[in-house]
Amino acid sequence: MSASGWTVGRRLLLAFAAAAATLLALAGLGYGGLRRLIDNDRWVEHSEKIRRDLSAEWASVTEAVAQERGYLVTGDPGYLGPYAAAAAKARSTEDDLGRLFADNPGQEGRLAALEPLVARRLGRLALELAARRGRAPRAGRAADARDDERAMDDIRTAIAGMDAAELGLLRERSAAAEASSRAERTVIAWGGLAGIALIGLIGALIAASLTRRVGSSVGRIQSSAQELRAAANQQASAAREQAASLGEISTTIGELLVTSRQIAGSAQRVARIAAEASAAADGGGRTVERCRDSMAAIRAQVDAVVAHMLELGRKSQRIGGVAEIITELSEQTNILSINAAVEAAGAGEHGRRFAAVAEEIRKLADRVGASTREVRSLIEEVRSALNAAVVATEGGSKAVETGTSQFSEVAGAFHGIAALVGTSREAAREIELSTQQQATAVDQVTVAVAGVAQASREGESGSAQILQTAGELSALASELARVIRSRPAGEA
Amino acid sequence: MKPAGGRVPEARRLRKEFDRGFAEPQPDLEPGGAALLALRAGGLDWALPLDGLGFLTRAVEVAPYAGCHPAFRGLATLRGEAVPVWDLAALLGLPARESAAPWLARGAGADPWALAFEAHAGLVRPRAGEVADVPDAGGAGGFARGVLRLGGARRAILDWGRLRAAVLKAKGET
Repeated sequence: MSASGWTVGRRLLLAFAAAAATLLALAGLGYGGLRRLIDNDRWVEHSEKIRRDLSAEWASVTEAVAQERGYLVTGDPGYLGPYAAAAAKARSTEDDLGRLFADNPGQEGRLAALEPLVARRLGRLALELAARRGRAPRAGRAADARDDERAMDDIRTAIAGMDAAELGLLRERSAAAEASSRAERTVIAWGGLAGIALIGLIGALIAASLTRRVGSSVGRIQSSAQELRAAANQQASAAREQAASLGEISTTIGELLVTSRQIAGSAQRVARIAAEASAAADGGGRTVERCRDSMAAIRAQVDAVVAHMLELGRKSQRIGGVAEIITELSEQTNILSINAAVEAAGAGEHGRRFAAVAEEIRKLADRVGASTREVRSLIEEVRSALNAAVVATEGGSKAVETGTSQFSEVAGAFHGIAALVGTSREAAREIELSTQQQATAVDQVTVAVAGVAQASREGESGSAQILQTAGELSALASELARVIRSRPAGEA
Repeated sequence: MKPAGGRVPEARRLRKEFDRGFAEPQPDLEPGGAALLALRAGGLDWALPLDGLGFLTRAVEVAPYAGCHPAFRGLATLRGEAVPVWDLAALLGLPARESAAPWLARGAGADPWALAFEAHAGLVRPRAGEVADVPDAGGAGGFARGVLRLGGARRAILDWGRLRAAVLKAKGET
C-alpha cells in the first residue's frame, strides 16, 4: 500500500513512532553517556577508596609501629592490644586492596611487593616479644633501628607508588568523565535540537496531511450534508405525499368496504332469487314435459289430418278425371253438333229442322263445356287448396315435430337453467362468503393503512429531524473547515 | 250432401236453360251459307263458311311427307280414307304453328283434302249487318270473301274455292 492510502491513525501512529524513536535515540545516547559517567564516577570512587585504603594502610602500619615502640620502650603490655588491632587492620586493608586491585595487574604486583614489607616490619615485634619471654637479650638493636627505618621507607615508597599510580588513573578517569560529559552535553543539545526539528517536521507533515485529508473529508461531509438535506427534504415531501395518498387509499378502502357489504347484500338477494329461479325452472320443466305430451297428441292429430287431406286429394284427382271425361264428351258433342250442322246445311231445306236440333245440341254441349270448365276450375281450386292444406299440414306436422324437438331442447334447457341457477346460487353464496372475508380483510387493511399513515407521519417527523441534523452537520462541517483553513500562514 | 230440391243450383240453372230452349221460338236458321266456323290459324282469328266444309275433326295422327310443299303437312286417315292435310296458316302466308293434334276441316266433295289449324271457337251464326263484303277480292292474301264483325272483333271470312285453288297450285308445284 502506498503512503497516500494510509489512514489518519496510521499516519499519527507513524509520526508518534518517529518521535518516540527520536526520543528513544536521545534517551539511549543520554543513558549511554550517563552510564559512562556513572562508570567513571564509580572508578573515581574506586580510585579514591584505594587511595583512602592506602592512607589507612600507612596509618595502620605507623600506628602498629608506634604501639610497638611504646611497648618496646615501656614494656607495658597495654600497647600490645592497639598494636594487634592496628596490625589486623593493616592486614584487613591489604585484603581490601587485593580485591580492589583485582582488575589492575600493575597495582596488584605493587601490593604483592608491599605485603611482605609490611609483614616483615610488623613481624619484628613478634620476635621482640619472643625474646623477652625467653629472657634472652637481643643483640644488634642499633642495626634493627636502621632496618626499621628502611623498611618504613620501603613501605612508604611502595604505598606512595601505588597512590601515585592510582592518582594517575584517577586523573585519567576524571578527564574521561569530563570528555564524556562534554560529549553528552553536545549529544543532548544537538540531539534535542535535531529531535525537536524532526518532530516539528513530522508534525508539519502530519498536519498538512491531516489538513488535506480532513479538508477533503469536511468537503465530502458538507456535500453529504447537502445531499442528506436534499434527501431529507425529498423524504419529507414523499412522506407528505404518501400520507396524502394513504388518506385517499383509506377513503377508497372505506368505499370499498361499503361496496363489499353492498355486494354481500346483493349476493344474498341473488342467492334467494336463484333459489326462486330454480323452483321456477323446475316448474317450467314440468310444464314443458306436459306441453311435449300435448304436442305428441297434436302431432298424431296432424298426421291423421294429413292422411285425410291426401285421401281427399286423391279423390279430387279422380273428380278431375271425371271432369276431364265430361269435358271431352262435351267437346265431342260440340264437334258432333258442328258436323250435324254441316250435314244439315248439306241437306238443304230438309235439313232445317235437323239444324235446329243440332243447334240445341251445340248449345247444350257449350253449356256442359262451360259448366265442366267451371267444375274443373273449382276442382283445380280445391286441389290447389288441398295441396296448400297438405303443405300447410305437413308444415304444421314438421312444426309440431320441430316444436316437440324444441320442447325437448327447452326441457333440457330448463334442466340446464336449473343446474346453472344452482351453480349461480352456490357462486352467490361463495361470493357472499368471499365478500364478507373481503370486508374483514378490508378492515384489517384499514387498520394497516392507518398504521402506515402513522408511520408515514413519523417518517415525516424523522425527516424533519434528519433535516435538522443535516443542517447541524453542515454547520459543524463549515466550522471544521473554517478551523482547518484558519491555521497559521506558511503551513501547507 | 245434396241441397234441398235434390239438385245443385248449377244443375237447376242448366236444366232451366235447356227447357227454355224448347219454349222459345226457333230462330230463323238459314240452312247453309250463313253459319260460319270460327277458328284460329297463324295467331289470327278467321271464319270458314260451312258450305265448303265436309266435317270437322281432330287429327289423330298426321304422317309427314318429306320434300313436298311447305304448306303440306302430310296424310291423315279420316273416316277410312287417306286425306292430304294442308296447313291453313302456311297457305295464308303466315308462320305455321306446330300442334301435336291440330283441328282438321275436311273439304266437301269427293276430292279428299283438309285444312289444319290451331283451334276453333264453334259455329257462329251472324246476324244481319255483321257480315260485310270485302271491297277488293284480294283481301287476306286473296283468300277472304268477307269480313265478320262480331262483338267488336273482326274475322276474315275465307273462301273455300280460293283455298282449294291455292292447294291445287301447291300440288302442281309439288
